[in-house]
Amino acid sequence: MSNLYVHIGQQIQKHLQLSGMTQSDLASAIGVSRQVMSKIVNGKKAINVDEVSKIANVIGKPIEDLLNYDTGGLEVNEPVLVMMGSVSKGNTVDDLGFLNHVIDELIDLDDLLKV
Amino acid sequence: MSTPNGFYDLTKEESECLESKAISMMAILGKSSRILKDEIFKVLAEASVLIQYPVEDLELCGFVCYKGKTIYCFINSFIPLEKQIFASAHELYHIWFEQEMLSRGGELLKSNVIDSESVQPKNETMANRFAAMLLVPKDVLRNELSNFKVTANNIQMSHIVRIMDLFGVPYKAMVRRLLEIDFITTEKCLELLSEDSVTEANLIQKRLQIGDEMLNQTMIIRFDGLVDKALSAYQLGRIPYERLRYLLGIVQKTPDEFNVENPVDLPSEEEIMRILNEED
Repeated sequence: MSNLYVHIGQQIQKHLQLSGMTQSDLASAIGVSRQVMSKIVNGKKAINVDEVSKIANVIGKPIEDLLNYDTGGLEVNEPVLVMMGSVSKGNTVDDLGFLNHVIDELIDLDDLLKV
Repeated sequence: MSTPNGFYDLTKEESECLESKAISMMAILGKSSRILKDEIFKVLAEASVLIQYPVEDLELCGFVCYKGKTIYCFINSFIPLEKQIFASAHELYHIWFEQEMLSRGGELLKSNVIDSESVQPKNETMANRFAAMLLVPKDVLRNELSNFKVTANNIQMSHIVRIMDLFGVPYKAMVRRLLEIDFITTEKCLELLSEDSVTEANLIQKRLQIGDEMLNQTMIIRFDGLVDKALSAYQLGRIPYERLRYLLGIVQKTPDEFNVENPVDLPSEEEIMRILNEED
């Protein structure tokens, strides 16, 4: 569910743009380094509860607003390919691609056996 | 604030509802008041097409999703067995109770979701709690604690290590379960979840040689139905020998193992040489 972290980062980014606050300001306000804040804003850090709570407090939003994540109710035809987008390790991406390929082989075999 | 159970600490009603779901599912499976441990894989294979494969990434536990009209569930056999078991029970929650989420893209399950150290969406907290309820039924746990003559006052790390091995769940999941059944206090739970306590638990595990197999990376390669379907398709003449060989190769098997021979009689090396010499 790493998309949640991307979502939180986007929510923070939106607030920063509207308020004119910088990432550095927010980093000092909640007591983390600029580098950590950059990771949070880019959705690359598994943000913890205390950090979400502090950020919500500083930007004056309820925590739920930061966490309210919705996929939009769309059905996904190639779910594994979508999942691959949230993985950064090269070999993991390759292996997920392989698993997706084998699933396709299973589906194809099912079709062949139906004929 | 953070709680030992994750950000969304469930209400009493939500927790009771989940417990009742776990008890009902165990009854439906004919496994009431039983310890499932690695039998969870059989349960998962009944509910989905189970894929077990080693992906060299300890952060990746698995995924579950619909593709077409079928549910596929992958469990990473590179992670320790106790984590594979917990991940399987976690995914069963999504399969049994969150069909809509599965059809909207499913879930890529990463280690930090199971460990619950980071903020989680509510349904992930529910899935983790349900997994613990399924794998560590309250009545069975209380019986075992009583068998070990453990009380809230005398509970020691060695007790927890023995009990977690009995149920085949990770240390932190066991500690949280003890809190959930009100056997330990929140303070005790936080103490047991501290980094020092986790390190101590690992050492005791090694010292007492308990649960070594639960820490094994099983490295299993399993694609439910692949071998049977490939052989059937070949026998019906719907795939050629080469494709059969490729498909069986995925699970490290060969057609020979199923008494299937290559229908084409390839010339021997000597015959090839003779033919080549004749052409010259």
